[in-house]
Amino acid sequence: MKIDVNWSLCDGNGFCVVEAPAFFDLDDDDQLVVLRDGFGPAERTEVDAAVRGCPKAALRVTD
Amino acid sequence: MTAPPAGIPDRDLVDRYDPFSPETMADPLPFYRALRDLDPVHYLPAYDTFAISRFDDVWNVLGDVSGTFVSSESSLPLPSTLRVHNEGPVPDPPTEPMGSANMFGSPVYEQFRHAQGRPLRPGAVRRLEGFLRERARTRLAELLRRERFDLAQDYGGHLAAGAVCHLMGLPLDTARDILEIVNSSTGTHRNAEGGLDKVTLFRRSMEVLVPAVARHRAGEPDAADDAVELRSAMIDGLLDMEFRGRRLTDEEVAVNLVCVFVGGTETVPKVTAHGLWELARDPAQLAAVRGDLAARVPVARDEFVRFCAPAQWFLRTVREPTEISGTPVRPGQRVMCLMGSAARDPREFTDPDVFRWDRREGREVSFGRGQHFCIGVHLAKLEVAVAAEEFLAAVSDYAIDEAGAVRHPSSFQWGWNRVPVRATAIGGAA
Repeated sequence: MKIDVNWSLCDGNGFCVVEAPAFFDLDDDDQLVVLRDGFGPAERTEVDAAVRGCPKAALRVTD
Repeated sequence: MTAPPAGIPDRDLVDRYDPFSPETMADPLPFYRALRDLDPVHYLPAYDTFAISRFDDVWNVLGDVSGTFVSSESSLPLPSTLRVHNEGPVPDPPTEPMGSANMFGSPVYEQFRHAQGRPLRPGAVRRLEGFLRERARTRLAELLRRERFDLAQDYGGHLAAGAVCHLMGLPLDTARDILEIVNSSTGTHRNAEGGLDKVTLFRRSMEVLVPAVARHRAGEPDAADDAVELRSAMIDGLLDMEFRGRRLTDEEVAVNLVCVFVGGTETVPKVTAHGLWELARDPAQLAAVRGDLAARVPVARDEFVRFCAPAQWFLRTVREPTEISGTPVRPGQRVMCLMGSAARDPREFTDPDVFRWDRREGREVSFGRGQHFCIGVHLAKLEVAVAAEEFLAAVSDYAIDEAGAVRHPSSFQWGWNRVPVRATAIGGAA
């Protein structure tokens, strides 16, 4: 499974960093950095929390 | 205050609900409860608009970024606009000249938002904390010498308008003017039909913003000159942006700054003042927050937002056939997302009409969601927390003059405009 970012919507709010720090970070310019885009079933919960928590609805999970 | 008008059945409240009627503008909360319980996707035939009042529906509609819901008629249209019904989907406005990108769909809206949004991102906002604390402390020292002052405008407004000056490269002594412009033009109770006085608000905002943009284009302020205020990265971002093969004019840049100019000024004062009032009402809660200001004020701040946020609704115009909780909606029809209702929905929050500083419950909908999620969220949250913390740190005791508090009826920003307070400085210097 993979994380998909809508870069047009992403504002670098960083809610995803709080929910899933293994996958998301913000650089010094408040730009999103996706640390890993592939994940396994064991990590589904935290990735889903990041997807749900994104206030811009800029994240999706794809197969 | 939150009790329904005596003796009116919920069914009647649903039938009487009109976001622009004087009785709704005076207190929408009883109407919201009736709507949530009896008709959560409520059709307003006069406006061809569905008013959605439950948390989940508001969350899902605002968070739908498919392009189905667009602010084509603005997020805050006048009732006269809504009384004219659309025959089908409403297209993006013209771009020559370019007006506010807020009324456009993707990708235009996002292009303008990204061009100006960099200084409002979390890291940039954290770097403003020192400026905000200094401004709050200096202001409190002056205000505490007075017998009484207005927590909302004298204190919160001074901070919020000052931050807007800082963001837009305006001299700090312009803050007072900005506060007056926004406060005098956003009261919907002054307008006979219950909507914003958009014409005056726009004109007066542009009178400040257009010259600021022109100065930036001319190379002033020069960041190398210590005597002059720093340049605005928001203005520079829009000046540098290439849009459909051209640059924007001064007016086009300015019109796209109005949202932050107004939004950054009008909301924080009301939330700050009303939140501090709620703490004063419950000495046990106030004592608890005072127990550790640095750790607890940010927690309380989130309840300030839920309980006190003044923005009642935002409108979207539908572009594709869709449905909301089983109700079909056609292109051209409108959906009014009642965040003011969602924030009080017992389906999301236990005892929603009770202020609990440490609630830590439920999702936050007061800043919206999706494409138009509040661009100023990080700054707004920091301003409220700093204002509240610095006030409680400087003051040993305070009492709100309830009879003197003012909350204008409003179809849109329904919140405490004026909150007079008598406060004693720590050390008894009042």
